[in-house]
Amino acid sequence: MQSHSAEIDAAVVSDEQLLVQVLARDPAALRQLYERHGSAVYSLAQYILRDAAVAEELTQEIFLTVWNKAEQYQADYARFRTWLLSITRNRAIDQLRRRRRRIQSALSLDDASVAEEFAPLVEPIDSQRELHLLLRHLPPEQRLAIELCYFQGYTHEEIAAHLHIPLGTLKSRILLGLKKLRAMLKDGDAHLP
Amino acid sequence: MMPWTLGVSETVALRSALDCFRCGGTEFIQAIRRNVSLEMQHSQVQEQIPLYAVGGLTEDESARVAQHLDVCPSCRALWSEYQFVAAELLEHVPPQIVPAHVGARLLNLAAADARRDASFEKRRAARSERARFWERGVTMPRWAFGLLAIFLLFLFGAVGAFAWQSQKSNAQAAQVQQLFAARNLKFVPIRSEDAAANDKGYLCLTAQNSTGLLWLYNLAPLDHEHVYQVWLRDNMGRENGGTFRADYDGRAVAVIQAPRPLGEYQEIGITIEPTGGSLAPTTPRVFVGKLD
Ligand SMILES: [Zn+2]
Repeated sequence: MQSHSAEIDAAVVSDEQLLVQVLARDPAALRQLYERHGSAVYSLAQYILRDAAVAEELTQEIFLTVWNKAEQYQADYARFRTWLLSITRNRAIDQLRRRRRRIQSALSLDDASVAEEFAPLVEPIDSQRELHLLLRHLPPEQRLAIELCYFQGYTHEEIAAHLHIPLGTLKSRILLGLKKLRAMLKDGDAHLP
Repeated sequence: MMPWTLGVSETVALRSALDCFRCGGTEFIQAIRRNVSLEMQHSQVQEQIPLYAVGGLTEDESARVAQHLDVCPSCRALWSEYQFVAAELLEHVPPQIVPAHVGARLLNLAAADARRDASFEKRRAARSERARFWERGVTMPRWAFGLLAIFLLFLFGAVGAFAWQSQKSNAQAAQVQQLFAARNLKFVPIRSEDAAANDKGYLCLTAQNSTGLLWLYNLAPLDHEHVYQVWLRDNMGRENGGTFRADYDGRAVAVIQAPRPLGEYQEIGITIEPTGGSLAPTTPRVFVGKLD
């Protein structure tokens, strides 16, 4: 009977309440947060980093940040989960950039090495994976622009140079794509996965 | 971005307004300029908000947008819509199954942390009780007084012979004197980890003092590459208590400077480490003493 009521409580307790318990160093609260959001954090880390082992490390690091620095959560993020995913993205992209700098210092920065660097993006994403991406609703050039900027952490200058398009064109592709997504999300989730 | 310009009718309106406000004209113009610049900012920022939400602006641009968001509710509303877009993009990636060991390792770390925190709290609570224990004073067997006398003789011999030549050592000497003047001086036996071996000496300490005096005998002499190192242990972990060597007769007198009062530790341990000491023990403990 007791365990049954505990389950109900678990469903009712909000992330923010759990976060308060984490601040009081309750590992059970951390476990709940991990059960709720662990796979979203891991999936995002894996999507950006494309390396399971590094994604595992990052997932652990993110939840240890929650455990040790829960007070860093800012309430101007609408939800705890939004904050969690955005710090996951930031840290994953920091790692990608560091990785790229290492590659660049190892290779001379000729066209071939730059092309190699962008190579994973040209790879076709299989349809199973494709199904889940919000970006699949956009025309390919808008989608690629957002992908490179938001998920791969390239600067606008780098992307424009790589795609051989003017900076202004790139920015308007990103803007158009984001505006389209906003309109779509505003319409309701009818045609979203 | 198009610069904001005054149209003909606006210029006329402004001129006539200036006629009316001849005295306070400058203030009026400044107010208009402020509005103009806010208006310019507003349209610029509105265009930049989607990029701002996905982290696609330079630091300077981001700072300008953030500044504007502070004063403009309509831009803030737009921003929150694009924050939602940005968040949804992060949600919609191909789902992966996290390997079980990731969660297990994380929760183990957290549980160990929590246990340490809890024992820290318990230790804090126990501290007052332990203080009472120390205040009871120490009952020393009569032979121990004799031993103390020999020890003091030996100590002061050692002091004269080799221990305190420098200013720093003078300070230590003063601390040791203070230690010996304390009413509740306690002697903790130091024993070899090998149960069959004899006692190795004593640690003289008081609960409140972070200076202690270690007196050991029958030590194995060490070569120049090695020293004895003292470790002080409590619930939270282990702290370095310094290094010392034994003389040719296998005796050693060492002043221990702990980071905190010695009454807060539970155990003293001694290991053999490379000359210069180690950050953590690298060999098994050779001697141990219980402080509580
Ligand atoms: Zn505005």
